[in-house]
Amino acid sequence: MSPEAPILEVEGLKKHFGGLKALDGVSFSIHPGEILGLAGPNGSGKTTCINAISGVFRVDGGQIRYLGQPIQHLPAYRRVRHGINRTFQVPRPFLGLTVLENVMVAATYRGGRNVNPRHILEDIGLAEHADRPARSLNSSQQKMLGLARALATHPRLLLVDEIGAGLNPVELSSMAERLRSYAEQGMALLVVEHLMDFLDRVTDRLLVMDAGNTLFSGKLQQATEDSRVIEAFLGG
Amino acid sequence: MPKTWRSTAVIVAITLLTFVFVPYIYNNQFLLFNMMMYMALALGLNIIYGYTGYLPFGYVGFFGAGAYGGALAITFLHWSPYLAVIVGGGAAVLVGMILIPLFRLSGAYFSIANLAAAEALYYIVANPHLESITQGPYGISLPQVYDPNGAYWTMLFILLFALVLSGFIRGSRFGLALAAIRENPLSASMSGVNVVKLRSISWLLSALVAGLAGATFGWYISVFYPETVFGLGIGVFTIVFVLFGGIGTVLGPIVGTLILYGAYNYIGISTPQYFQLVYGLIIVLLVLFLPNGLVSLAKRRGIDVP
Ligand SMILES: Nc1ncnc2c1ncn2[C@@H]1O[C@H](COP(=O)(O)OP(=O)(O)OP(=O)(O)O)[C@@H](O)[C@H]1O
Ligand SMILES: [Mg+2]
Repeated sequence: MSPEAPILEVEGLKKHFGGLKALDGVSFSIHPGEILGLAGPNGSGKTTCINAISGVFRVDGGQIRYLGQPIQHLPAYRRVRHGINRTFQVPRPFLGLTVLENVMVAATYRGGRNVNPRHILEDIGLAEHADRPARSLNSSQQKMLGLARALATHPRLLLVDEIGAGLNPVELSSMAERLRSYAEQGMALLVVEHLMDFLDRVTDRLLVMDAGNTLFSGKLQQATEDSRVIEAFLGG
Repeated sequence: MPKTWRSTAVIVAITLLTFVFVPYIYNNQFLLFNMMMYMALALGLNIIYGYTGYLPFGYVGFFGAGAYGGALAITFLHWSPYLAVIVGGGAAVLVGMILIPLFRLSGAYFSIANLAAAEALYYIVANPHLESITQGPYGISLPQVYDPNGAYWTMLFILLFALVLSGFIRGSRFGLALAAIRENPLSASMSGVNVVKLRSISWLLSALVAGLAGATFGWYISVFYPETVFGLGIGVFTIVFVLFGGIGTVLGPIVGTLILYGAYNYIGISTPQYFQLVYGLIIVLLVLFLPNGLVSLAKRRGIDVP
């Protein structure tokens, strides 16, 4: 595989819930070491897109290729073991388990070589809470724990769902720096975010969705001048 | 070695010594047998309910399947009761496999569908048209293998097996994954856990324990009817014992059964007219004041319960 080959190619992705077309033919690709920003008004299908790639449900049409192979028929846990992971918009920790145990599950079941969950907690800044139940963390700590769980599987493709929401400015800039450093180490990232200036600090490549469709794809600076994008954000 | 495994070894030793020596000073063998049986059932139920969070209201279905599976092996194949007990365990596992699709349902729907499945099994077994196989409503009688002592020691063995199994799971990475499934199945699969497979394994292990216990019970009493081994009361007792002791632990189901089954028998013998009242009161108080069972009292004080 040449270094230019994309790690993820999504082609004509479709997903409907009853009569609602949450994804109506979305296409894009991401290369190793690259960050793609994904924006769009509420309900435009961003989370559905992450759910489709991570295998929460089967799509109704289109293809998802990872490292050149179609993966849309693989169950989620197999995709995880191949190196795909994600965070959740609303954190979903194992509330009754300790912080360390939360990360340990992923470190144990990712397949392949062992990962030390304590190192991951240190990196993410939760080491001092290792033995507390996840239930006792506040919501931004729970978001960090979700990221730690994903990192424990050593993802090559990380899908990040609105991790900036609810963070204060200091936390936001360190999060932006953190995501960029993952990309510098070769990880590919899809970063879903409402906050445009957060996205601006993370990447210059942007995809804007509206009602399940791709509205814009290109440089972030151009998006802010694109009349359709402005309309979708102000009108939506 | 995980601490849980060491604590389990201690619990196993105490249980073994108790049921070997108590018969010398207390001669109600049937009560001791039932105590062991409920302890085993409570541990078995705990594997699926306590460890993965699915509560099967029809757990007794596995018990009945085991009792009938064992009885058929004795009646038609003329196998020794020890082999028949294993057949009973196998029959319950088979029923468990058939019921795996129930896991598509969540929460209360799963519980109720499982209850319906157990009832369906009861009506199949009790159907007069199947008299040539199951004796239908007229019941099973196994005088040819009558041996209460043999059944007693077999039940003790099954109880110890259930204990070792529970302790092993709790201290292993398998147990950690089950806990993750219980807390959040989606996050578990996003951690690389094969939720469907691990949940099915724990379901079948849970069924196995009930099937073995059911077959041994049938052997012990040697005359029984469909309603004896499919009676919902057995399932309700088991659920209450597990809840009272504390779900998700090895010690909880044992202690819960010891205290509650002991208390019920004491009340039932001394003042039978108050039995139902006290039974109901205990359940109400439990739900109100001790939803996480007796072991939560210890956990609250920072004591690690195996
Ligand atoms: N599991 C589901 N069942 C039914 N409808 C769903 C489901 N998931 C998403 N939807 C619908 O699909 C549409 C897209 O939802 P999605 O969560 O992907 O939006 P989003 O872009 O992430 O929005 P937000 O910015 O609010 O997070 C919405 O109308 C939503 O109500
Ligand atoms: Mg969303």
